[in-house]
Amino acid sequence: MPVQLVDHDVEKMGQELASCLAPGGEDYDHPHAALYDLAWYVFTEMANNVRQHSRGLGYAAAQTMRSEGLVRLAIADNGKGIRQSFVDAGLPWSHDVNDAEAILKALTSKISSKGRPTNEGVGLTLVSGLVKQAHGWLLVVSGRGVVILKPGGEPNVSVLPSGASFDGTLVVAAFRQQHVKNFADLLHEAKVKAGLLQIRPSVGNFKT
Amino acid sequence: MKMELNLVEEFGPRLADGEQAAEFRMGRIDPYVGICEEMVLNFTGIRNANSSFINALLAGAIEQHGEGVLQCLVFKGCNPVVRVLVESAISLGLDKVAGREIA
Repeated sequence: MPVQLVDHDVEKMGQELASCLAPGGEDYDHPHAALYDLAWYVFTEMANNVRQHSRGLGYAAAQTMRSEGLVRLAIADNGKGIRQSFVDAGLPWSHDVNDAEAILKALTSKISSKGRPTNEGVGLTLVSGLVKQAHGWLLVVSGRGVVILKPGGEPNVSVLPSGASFDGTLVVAAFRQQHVKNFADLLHEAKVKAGLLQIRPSVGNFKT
Repeated sequence: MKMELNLVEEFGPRLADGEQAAEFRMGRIDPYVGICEEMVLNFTGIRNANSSFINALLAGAIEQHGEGVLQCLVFKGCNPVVRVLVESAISLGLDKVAGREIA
């Protein structure tokens, strides 16, 4: 599907990409609904990051390989990168970390460069958690740093070769559609594993 | 007094922008917390939401007003995804309150 510029309503952009990737998934009971929901969530959270702190232009793209059932989602910006975002947010440790370490920090829950009252540092954390729950792959490149998550493995940390640097942030997620059956369950597990949701009796008052 | 906020009417069926949510909370929820016995957040018809929006809407309210705000908030019509997001935002808000009490 065509590359989209992240310059309009985030929710509309997410809807357009998710609809293209998972036709019919707008309907909650449709077989593509879980893929639609996952794509919408990833694109809107990553696009929020682009708009709120990259101070650059962002692009989003998606691809499906029907024969293999493989789905790829990508979002990139030419902004200031993850490490500089932490520096600008005044986080005391930010001057002591390199680009790759800054990416790892961004994958850690409750570390945010955006300040309050937004997402309290769960955007990239949750995206990586969702990818893990879907037994997928995640690539994050920012500055000179590269972090790759593979199914069941620890993060692989490296730097771009030959002194190369990417002045922005690239996030690519890939997973097989067969692992995305129920988005609510994926989200619940990702939240619990990130320490963002306690397993305890609900204290909220829910009504149908 | 009972108040109901219909989120589909306010934002449409998709809730994505945390800054919008924070603005909405400060203007439409915070001023009424001490006044309303029951404040219904009606999510009926909301198809998608993300953590940015729901955390900004709820975690901040709990942090500002304390755990007691949950006595008056009612979450109506949540689909399973929205329910996970609401539960998580409540959890985040309670953690913040607990952290503040310890500090």
